[in-house]
Amino acid sequence: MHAPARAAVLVAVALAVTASTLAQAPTKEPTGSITGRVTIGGKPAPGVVVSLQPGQPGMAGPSPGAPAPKATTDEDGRFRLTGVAAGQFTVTPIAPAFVLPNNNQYGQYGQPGKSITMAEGEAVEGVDFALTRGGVIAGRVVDAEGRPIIGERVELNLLDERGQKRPVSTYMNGPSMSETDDRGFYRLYGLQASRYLVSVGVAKERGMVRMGGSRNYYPQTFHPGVAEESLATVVEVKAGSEATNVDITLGRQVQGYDVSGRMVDEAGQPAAFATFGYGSVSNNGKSMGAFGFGLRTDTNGEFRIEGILPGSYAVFVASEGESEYYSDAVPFDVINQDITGLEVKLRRGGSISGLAMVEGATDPAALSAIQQLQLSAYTESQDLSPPRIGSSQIGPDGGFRITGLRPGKARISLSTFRGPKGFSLLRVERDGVAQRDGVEVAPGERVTGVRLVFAYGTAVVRGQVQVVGGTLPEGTRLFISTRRVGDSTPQGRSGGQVDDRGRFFIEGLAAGDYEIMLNVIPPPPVPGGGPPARPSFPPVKQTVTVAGAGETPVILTIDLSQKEKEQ
Amino acid sequence: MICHTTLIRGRVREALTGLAFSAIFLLALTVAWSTGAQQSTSSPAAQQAPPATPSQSQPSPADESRPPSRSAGGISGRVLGDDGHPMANVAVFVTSLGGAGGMGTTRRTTNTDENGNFRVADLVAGAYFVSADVRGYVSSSFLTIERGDRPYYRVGESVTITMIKGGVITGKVTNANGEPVVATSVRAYRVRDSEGQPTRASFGNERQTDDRGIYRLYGLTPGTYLVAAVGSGQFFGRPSAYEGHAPTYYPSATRDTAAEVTVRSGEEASSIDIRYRGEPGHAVSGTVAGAVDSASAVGGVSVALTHLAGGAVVGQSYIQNNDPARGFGFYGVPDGEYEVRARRSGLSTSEGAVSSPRRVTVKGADVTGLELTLAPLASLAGRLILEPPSEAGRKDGCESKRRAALEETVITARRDEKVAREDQPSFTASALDNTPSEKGEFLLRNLEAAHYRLTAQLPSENWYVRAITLPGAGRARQVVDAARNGLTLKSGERVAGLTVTLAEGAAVVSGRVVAAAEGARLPGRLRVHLVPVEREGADDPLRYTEILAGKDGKFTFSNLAPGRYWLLARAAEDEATETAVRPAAWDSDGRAKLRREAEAANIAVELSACQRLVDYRLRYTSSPGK
Repeated sequence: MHAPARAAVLVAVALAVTASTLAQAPTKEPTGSITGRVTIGGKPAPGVVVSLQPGQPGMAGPSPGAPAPKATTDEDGRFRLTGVAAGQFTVTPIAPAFVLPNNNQYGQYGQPGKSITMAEGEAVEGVDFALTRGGVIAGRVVDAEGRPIIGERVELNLLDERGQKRPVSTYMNGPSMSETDDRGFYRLYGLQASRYLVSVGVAKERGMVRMGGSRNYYPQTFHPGVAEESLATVVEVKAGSEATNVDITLGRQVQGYDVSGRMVDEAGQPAAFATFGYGSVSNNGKSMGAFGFGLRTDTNGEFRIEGILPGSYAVFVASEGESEYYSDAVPFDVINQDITGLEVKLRRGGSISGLAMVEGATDPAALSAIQQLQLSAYTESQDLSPPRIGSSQIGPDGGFRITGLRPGKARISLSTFRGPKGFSLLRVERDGVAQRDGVEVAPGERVTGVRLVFAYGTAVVRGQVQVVGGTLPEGTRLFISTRRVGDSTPQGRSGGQVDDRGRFFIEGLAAGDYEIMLNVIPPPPVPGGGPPARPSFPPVKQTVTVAGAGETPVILTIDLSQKEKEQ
Repeated sequence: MICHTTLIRGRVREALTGLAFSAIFLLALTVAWSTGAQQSTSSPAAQQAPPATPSQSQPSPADESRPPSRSAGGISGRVLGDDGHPMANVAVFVTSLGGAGGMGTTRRTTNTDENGNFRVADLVAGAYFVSADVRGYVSSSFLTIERGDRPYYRVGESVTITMIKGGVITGKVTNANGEPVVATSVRAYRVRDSEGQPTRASFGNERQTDDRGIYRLYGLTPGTYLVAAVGSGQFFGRPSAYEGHAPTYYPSATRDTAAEVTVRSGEEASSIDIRYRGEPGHAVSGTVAGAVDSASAVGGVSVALTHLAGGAVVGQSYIQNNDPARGFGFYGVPDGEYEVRARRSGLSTSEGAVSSPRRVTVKGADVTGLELTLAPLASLAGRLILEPPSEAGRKDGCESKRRAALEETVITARRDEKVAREDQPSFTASALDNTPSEKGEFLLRNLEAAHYRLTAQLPSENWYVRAITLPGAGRARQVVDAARNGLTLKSGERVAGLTVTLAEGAAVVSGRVVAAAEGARLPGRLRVHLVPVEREGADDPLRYTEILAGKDGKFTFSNLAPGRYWLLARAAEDEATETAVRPAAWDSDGRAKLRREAEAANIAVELSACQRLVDYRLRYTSSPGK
């Protein structure tokens, strides 16, 4: 059983953003199908479960929703997914001990698999996967006295052809895989053939945000027991082979430092029981990176953060709910000692209130759905400013109020993390005048009568990418982004990856002109792969007019001969 | 890209103990990534022109205006292994109660030295929970909580924490063809305590199988477990091939036919191999309505699925604030009787909400379209008053080892159900603790609509609770005795004006139960009661007290109102060891029965103010009432 203390150690689990399927409301049973074959070492792989998930690689993921549709391969390794609706999906063979070709690693928490853009009733064939058996790295982690280190996370970095480090997710088969057990043993499996660095502990000067947990930590130590990366023994894993006895002997634990101070209101009175957080500050000292919050000041407004690793940080008040207050982010550097006497001032912030409306909408569903939109506001500042944690909602009558704003130009935006589809914020109006650069809020000012004008639409752009004058290198990824012409804020939701067949699909668009941009991302260097990736191709842009509803086709062309001429 | 941090284990712990203060560990830590997804880090090495350390740049003008520190001292202690040896370099956590949410405002961390000793200094007066974390071990602090005791410590006190080496369950999961089942979660539910007594099933641990199908669950509290391969389990990761499967219990069974696995401290149960069945389960799904809206990032709604037989929470589903469908779903649910309940956690500034439990029978089909409605939780506010000592009391002047402060008192609202519900979902708290301010004002938040009793854990042995009253309603304005019958809270109700009156001059009785007849055997477990002799105390639950005697028959009653009492020992062998027992004096029938038995046994003591009656030998004869 684990004490809660350790549970609080920041475990970064990316909750995959799931493309909501709610708005699709199919009127008839979907009839599309996807077929393909799974092979292992060229031979058919029977009994492999293949899943179909809404969304795209790197974006798809199990949500609290229903299990994804699945099919199991037959004796010949063939699978058939039926009843597939139009839209974007990721097809993935689930074989944790195996490696997918190219491994389609989209970031550390990405999902492997193939992106498929389906049309209504389409039968997509030849979605084949050639798997290879993954390698294994196993070993034991002990302290200087040979005692097992229990429950410690083992980190894995792949070394590519050029000796560049690339972190490898060790979490995707469940948290157990990357943690040592009660005997200090660990076992990482399903690894692609490569050279690896295996380490335990916290890297130097990472400015890591830890909340809770022990104040002691092990400094980063590589196999077999060295702090310097250059002295680490590189572990070579061949396809399907096991590298065993990859042991790590740790040195002494190091103590983090304590940072304390107090939080006061504008009258200098202690802010008792105030929730606060802290986070790392990036290089230029002007922006905050990872942060955590949830600690509280005591009855005297005093706060203390324990066991902080060396680095640059800032502490701030993390208002819960709709607080009227904000604080500055008070920076501090942890070098080699405790820090005391910090003072964080709470200030009464300004507010913006008004009414939200949907332009030209008569659909009652759209009008009621605006209550589910989450608004966030951001005030541009030259100074370091803390993250805004809460978001504001729109009331049943369309009224909204955003509080605790620092002075300056507040930009209101729509949170696109889940929530209903099809909305975009067109304009923010104050006294009938569009506030393109944000709403000016004086210190403590209560700005009223602001109008948020949303667009709502169900139109779809269905696209096809054509490549002429050559072929793109294997593993090139194509991404689409969409911007409504004349819109100051990009519409984060409308975009995504182009599938292997060059197709893409953008939904939830309102009528209007859109600029569609295609970004060409060269393949990541693959160990044992061919020549280095060619330089990236400039984005391809095209403007399309979307009517009120239905599909708008678009063809984007990448002319590789054009590129060559430029060079 | 926004990434949310999920604290799965923490949630499970919350589900286990239902302790309000565990919430401090849970307030989700959110990490914002600007680009990419480097694991909870940012801030690369290079630091250009680092800002001056704030202690230099801000010479703290606040120093003069700062109130004198109310630091009252420290808490020290020692961490021992179950073999009695000190444990060095162990993380120790000291967490205070207090604050509006009762979820603690101070959480301090230290490490034990070479001799297992620790000390946390500069603590303000309050009540503190102390625990230690050694991986693979179980802290005795948590075991005490599971028994219903709430061990809080005050400044100046010393704590001994025993770390019990957890047990291990390990084995291999294979399919019908004997091939390893890779990356399935394996979960252990504890169903019996270390003495073999059935307990409400609790979540022991969950790990995943490796590429050989091998799993290893460690750090298990000694006891008896049911072990199940649960497929995709509780982690969010890549899609699982086992989604929608019903759990397969060891050895290849349903829950009803599962074999039990017993582990003792530090022992390993190996070859607990599971032949995975991979049978489809059913869906239990629906939506949550009601008080869901909260603009806060931490006010998400969770839904728990509780298995009625045994009471284990077998599934948790989380709904984001802005999920328009407000839908929840559990998949791979096997046939059986369940209860589904939604909850929105409260904040220090606002009440949470909970739905009434919905009974669900799964039998060969999905159960969909459930509608759960959240109703706001209630709160209880009041004041703790210490009566000035009477003339006589001042003259006698009890001697005190330490000066106690009001804010060191722990006020507990404990749910009072006449019949202990076996099917009570264990994720709702059955008791809530908080400490008052230095003025004695207290607030207990996020209480479910239920009947409650208020109890107080007093920091001074000279204090006792004299009365608990509520201002009366209506014209008469007669004060209501909230001690006699407890108080009933309705959903969303905010009861204020409660007065808890403490008085000085409390007495103590300690002693030992002995067999009345020479050589006669005592029952294995004994519960000792103190019953008021005076008629006017007969219906005052505050005058009654009871305690489970130690294995050696020892007992101590403290914080007693002066007066005449009968002492009564009852056999308590049928009591479960790990669940809190409802005091017999909480209803009039129980009091009448106690008085009848006590009067018959007729062992009376007279306690004067401040009296310390020690080494009392209480003769046990089998209860006449039985």
